[in-house]
Amino acid sequence: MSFLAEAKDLRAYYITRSYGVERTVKAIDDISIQIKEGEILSIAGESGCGKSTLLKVLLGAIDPPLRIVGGTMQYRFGEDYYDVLSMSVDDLKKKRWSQISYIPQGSMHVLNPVRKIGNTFHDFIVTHRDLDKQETGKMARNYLGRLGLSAEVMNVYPHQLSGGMRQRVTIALATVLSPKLVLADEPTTALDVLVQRGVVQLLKEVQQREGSTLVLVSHDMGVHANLADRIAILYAGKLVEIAKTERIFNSPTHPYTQYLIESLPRLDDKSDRTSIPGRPPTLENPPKGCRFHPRCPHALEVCGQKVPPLTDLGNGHQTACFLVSEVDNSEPG
Amino acid sequence: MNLLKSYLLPRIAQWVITVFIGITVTFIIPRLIPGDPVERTLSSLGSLQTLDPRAVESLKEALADLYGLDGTQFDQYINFWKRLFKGDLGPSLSAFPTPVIEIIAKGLPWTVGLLTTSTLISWSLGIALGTLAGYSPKRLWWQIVDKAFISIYPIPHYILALILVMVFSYYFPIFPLVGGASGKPTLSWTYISSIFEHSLLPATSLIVLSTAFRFIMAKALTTTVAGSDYVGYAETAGLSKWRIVLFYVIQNTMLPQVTDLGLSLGAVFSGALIIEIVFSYPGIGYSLYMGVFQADFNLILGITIFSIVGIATAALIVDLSYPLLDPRVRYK
Amino acid sequence: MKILKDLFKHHLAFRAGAVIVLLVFLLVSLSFFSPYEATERRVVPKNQAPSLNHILGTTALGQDVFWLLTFAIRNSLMVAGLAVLIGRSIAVLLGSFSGYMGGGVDKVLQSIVDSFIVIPRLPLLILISVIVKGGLNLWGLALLLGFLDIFWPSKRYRSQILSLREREFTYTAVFSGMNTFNIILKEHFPFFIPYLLADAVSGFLWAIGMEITLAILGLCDLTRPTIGTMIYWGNYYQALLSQRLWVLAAPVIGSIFIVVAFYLISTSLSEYLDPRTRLKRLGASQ
Repeated sequence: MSFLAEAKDLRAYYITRSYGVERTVKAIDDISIQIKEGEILSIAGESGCGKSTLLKVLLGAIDPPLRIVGGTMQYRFGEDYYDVLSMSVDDLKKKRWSQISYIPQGSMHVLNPVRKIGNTFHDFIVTHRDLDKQETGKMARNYLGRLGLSAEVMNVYPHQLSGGMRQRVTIALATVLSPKLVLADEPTTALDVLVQRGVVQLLKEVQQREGSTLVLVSHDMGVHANLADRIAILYAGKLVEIAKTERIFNSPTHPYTQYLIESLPRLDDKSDRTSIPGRPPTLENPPKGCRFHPRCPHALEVCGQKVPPLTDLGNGHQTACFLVSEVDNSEPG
Repeated sequence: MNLLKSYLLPRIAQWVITVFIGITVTFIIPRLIPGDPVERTLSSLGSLQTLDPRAVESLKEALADLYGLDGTQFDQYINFWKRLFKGDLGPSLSAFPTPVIEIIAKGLPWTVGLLTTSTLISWSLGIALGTLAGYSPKRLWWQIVDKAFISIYPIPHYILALILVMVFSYYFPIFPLVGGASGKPTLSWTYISSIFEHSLLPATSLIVLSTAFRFIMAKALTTTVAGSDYVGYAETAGLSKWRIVLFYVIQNTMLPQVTDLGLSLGAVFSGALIIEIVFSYPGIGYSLYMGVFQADFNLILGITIFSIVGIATAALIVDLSYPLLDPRVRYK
Repeated sequence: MKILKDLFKHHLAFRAGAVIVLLVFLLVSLSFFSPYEATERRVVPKNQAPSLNHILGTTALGQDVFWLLTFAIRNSLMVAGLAVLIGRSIAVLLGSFSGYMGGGVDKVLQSIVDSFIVIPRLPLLILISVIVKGGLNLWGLALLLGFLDIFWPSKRYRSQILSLREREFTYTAVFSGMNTFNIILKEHFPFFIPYLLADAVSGFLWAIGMEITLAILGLCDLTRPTIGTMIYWGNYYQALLSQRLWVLAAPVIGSIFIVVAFYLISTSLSEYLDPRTRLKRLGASQ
């Protein structure tokens, strides 16, 4: 199978030490995931479940206090394999933008407030391409034009743009060098609904035209439904379910996924939406066994003792739940 | 237009308020002490015995005129302002009848020269070092620099200057002890090099202390900016370190530094006065010292008024140039 | 208390500062056991180099430098401490009044405060000292220094108050019907006081520096030993030219130790209070 990035048994913890107090936050605890070439993979879950951290690791941006405690992480570009965890920071940075790019959360502040957009484009392009200022300017203007953005933005400062426009510019900035893999962290949060739709549209357009792969983190199931080919559900630092988008929405198997889907408003259903009882656990001291069991309505005795393994249900559908793996599969969905 | 209304005009109004308050305070202070200010000033004037009676009489008149003791307090206040508008700070008492403004004019180039040179150097040095130290705080070298500046910063101006005098003028007499230059002021190399030689120690004292202050501030600001989203994003994209430091960090940390420069000019100036006193450097600070030494109240008052207006104006210029640096103020 | 314990355990700069400050206070308390009166002169042989009898030597006025230093540090600390107390109390009142009132009152107060910040204080200080000439005893000096160090701090306190007002717990407290005074006292002061402590040190350093400067100019009570007057008399009797370094070295080195120690304590305290380190301490990184 042709994958672009693959994590195996990955553990990434935040370890801090300050004034004699040491804390370990297990943001990613034993996750394996493959990103296939050309797909749009969505990562969903409540805030604080490790989504953003997973994205950081996929990006290879592992800075203290974040530390990789176990597992492997690989990229494949063409025929070449790269072991991310053993690559030097400089080598990783060389891969950025030309191969792997990143659209950050909160585009309000990712553009340097005292630098014209055009100069920022120049900075980012010239880092990876041997071009002069005129050439980078031309390249940026052309690209902005292809995305339907006015070249005027090159001459303004970030504060002169609206929030939605800023996010579009950021998307353009992230994808101007046609990277193979684009990682987007909550690209639509903090934007109003209409603008969100435009941004989602733009992301899809970029992905389709450039034939790139998009990994998207969002807590908004609506965005996932509109955009994703596959959806991965994270809970408390663990991957609990992954499947094609239709399967996740039509026949979710993990009780947590079921809750997430049920909490969505539907056009044909006017009944009250159920929200998930309780709160997600702290990642500093997660519950034993299945991390969802304290909130799970179907919890078995085994759920509090053993960690459920990720079980393949066929068609690329995987779930980590004893209801599926121990009790037989007579009741799918 | 918008910039003028929302930024420039309020600054200019602030300047007017500052000058008004400053001058009013200097008007009120001498009047808070009971007694006849003319007699008090004369009696404390050490050189009185050596003056001939006619000079004393004209001095008395000048003082009475200066204090404008005729009329109500309000009339006096108005007169006080009228004189100032004419640039009249009255005569010096110790060097009667030289006008105070002339003495100030003589010292001004020295003080301004000392101040601008040391501010320019300490500004660039402090920001450059502080930014680098704040951007790579783990490096041992920067930690040493950091500790050094933290230990220098709190030392009072006088103490540091005194130490420099002890070390470099007494024990290793490399530099001249006092004065601004030797020889006649000409455009010759010897004269200019003698200015340089005489200024080196005073300037060094000022530079060391101001650099320490800028360093500490730059480092703190850099720590904040280095944690910002836009620097993080530029780092993620692999931008080179010098590009990030120059265009992403310094361009942003400069802004609060400039605002602070405007506000701290008064303190920098006070520091320069002390340094001038220690090194007998012929600027305004030294005139002030002579004024204290010879109980020349008028000279002290004049210098105080002049420095209030001067510093307020310099601060205004700094403030007005701020929009050049910050596009968020420029294009609102 | 926990703050101090944490800092002492884990912060080298704080430990160094704390130890020196303790030594300084020890020195100060020794002054109460001095064999000589503070203002007494000609009690020991003049101009003696340091020896076993006079460990820091003696002055041209026949004073023992060591015992004189204990008085000097005591007086200087007292003047600076009192100045800080006066200045910061008014600054806190002014800053919080301005911050809590907001609106037009705040605007007017701020433009006055901004004016005083720009005005250079040294000439003003000299002007006042010259006018009251000789009448400036230690108390008067402390009062004067205090009054001149109100404005910068009050601006900082105001912005602290403004940011506290925006915090979530303020809103919670307001909605739960707590009255304003209680909110200030119970919700804001616990945050404000440590900040105040760290900040007060800067005023302390300024006051020590100004005391020295005024003394050098002969503008305060020269009969009382302070760090400044020790240097004044040292200069007066040409300590440098006649190679009697010890007379100047004691107050110079003493003052450096004091300011550096206090400053170290203040920076480590503010570093500890910085929200970013606080966050790190709580381990709330996500």
